[in-house]
Amino acid sequence: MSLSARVRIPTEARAGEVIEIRTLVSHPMETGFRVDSFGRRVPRKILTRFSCHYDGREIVSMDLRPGIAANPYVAFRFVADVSGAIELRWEGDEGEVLIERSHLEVIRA
Amino acid sequence: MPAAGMPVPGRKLSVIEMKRIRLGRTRHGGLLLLALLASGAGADCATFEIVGDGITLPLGGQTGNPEAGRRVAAERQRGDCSICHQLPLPNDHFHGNVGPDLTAISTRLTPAQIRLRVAANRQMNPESVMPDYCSSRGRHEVAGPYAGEPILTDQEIEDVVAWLSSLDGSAP
Amino acid sequence: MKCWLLLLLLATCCAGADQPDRRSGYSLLGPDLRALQDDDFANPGMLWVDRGERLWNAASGPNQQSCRDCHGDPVNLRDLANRLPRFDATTNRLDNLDMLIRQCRTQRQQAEALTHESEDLLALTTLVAHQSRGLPLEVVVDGPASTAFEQGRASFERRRGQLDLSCADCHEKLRGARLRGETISAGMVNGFPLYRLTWEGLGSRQRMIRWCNEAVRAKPMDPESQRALALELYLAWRSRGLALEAPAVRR
Repeated sequence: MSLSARVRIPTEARAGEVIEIRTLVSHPMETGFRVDSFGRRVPRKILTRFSCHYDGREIVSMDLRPGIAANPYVAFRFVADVSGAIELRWEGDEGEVLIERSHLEVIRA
Repeated sequence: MPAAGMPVPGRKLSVIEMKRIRLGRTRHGGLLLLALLASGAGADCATFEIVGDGITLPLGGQTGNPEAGRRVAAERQRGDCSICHQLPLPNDHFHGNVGPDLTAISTRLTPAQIRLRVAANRQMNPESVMPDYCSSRGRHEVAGPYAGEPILTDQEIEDVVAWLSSLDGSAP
Repeated sequence: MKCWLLLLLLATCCAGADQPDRRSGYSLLGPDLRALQDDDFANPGMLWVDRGERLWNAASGPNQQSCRDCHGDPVNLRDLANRLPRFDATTNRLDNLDMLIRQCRTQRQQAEALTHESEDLLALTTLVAHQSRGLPLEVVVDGPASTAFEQGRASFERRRGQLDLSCADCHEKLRGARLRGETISAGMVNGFPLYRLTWEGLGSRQRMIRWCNEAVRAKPMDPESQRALALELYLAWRSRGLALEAPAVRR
């Protein structure tokens, strides 16, 4: 299935509030260790990196490995302290890149 | 389905055919490997006689080797016994509970009784889910590589019988 | 006294034969997988629903028609998947959801055919089946469908493959027992199309039938054959009354 993501990113938060971003991305995460029914090695095809930038800072990053199942789900929490852009980025073995952008507005009470 | 190099069931293989199979294995992988394994035995098991609720004489006069039997029982593509039975195969983390626990089977059944239950269980109980391992008769819609072949060869069945007959509950 | 016992025995036997334990495979899941299925964001099957929505709105074929142009919102097909397969008296054959969508695609849209079990076809079947989530499975098995239904029942009970096992051997006699670490399900089909962890992907009822056939070392069935569809009809009838869960999550 072509690379596409479901993301849930809050668009508003109070200053200091802990918010959660949830992501689910369609990807086969083919390990490179399997053989097909003709005995041929199925080439590796995995996502290698996921990152999140918040207002220009990288707040989350992870390296993905072949042991991770297809269609990886990643969720994380952080403190919303400033209004700014959120950029989620997945990078794959074949140079494919998927970017999801959003804006978080922080309301000061 | 692999056609080239596929051995004819029940026929001894010539050296040339063996070579073709080896070539075929590198090209076609798993399927032909199975065909090769299955081809050793011929199409069906030797005739046997059921006495009481057992088969007294070894199938085809083969002598069973318990160590080989343990391997046949453990191998997924051969006996795969632990899918249904509890057995002393500690490398399998999960054992099924479809059939009876066999860890001490020799204290309950004689080798002749075990042989009947492995080779031709449905002759005793047609409703049982445990198929006949020595026969390919009366099967429907069998997939290509397995067509006309029993699940295990006579030798493999004798090996498994020898192993099961040694299980008295003391093995881990 | 003897008479009573016999009656009791008969009653228990008949109840057992006529009323299979109709529990959704959901009941065999642990709390983590139940939570995964119940979470409409994290349920990986929803990726196919998303993709299905994009395809639903995409124009294709010479007239640049989309599914939406004729059917409007997918929710208009809410009462469909739970009633399939169904017998079509005009063509004199059974249709399942995959076939209806494939026919629509080639005959109405006149677009390129969708191949079996392709991601695009799965996306559309999952989107449509998802609309019926919560509705009870309810297939028609009498009247003109009765022959196919009986065929399906016979197929369910017929032993096949080198391992000489029938669907009924495992999913009726042995449901609840364990094959290695896996509990044998009652063979209910209310979750399809479903995301199976074993597959790391989505599959239809026909894919599951093919998987089972392979496991008993039987020949695969042509998924569009009337035989395969008759079996699917029987399976849907066995699952009657269960709420549709598509896309379900299973091990």
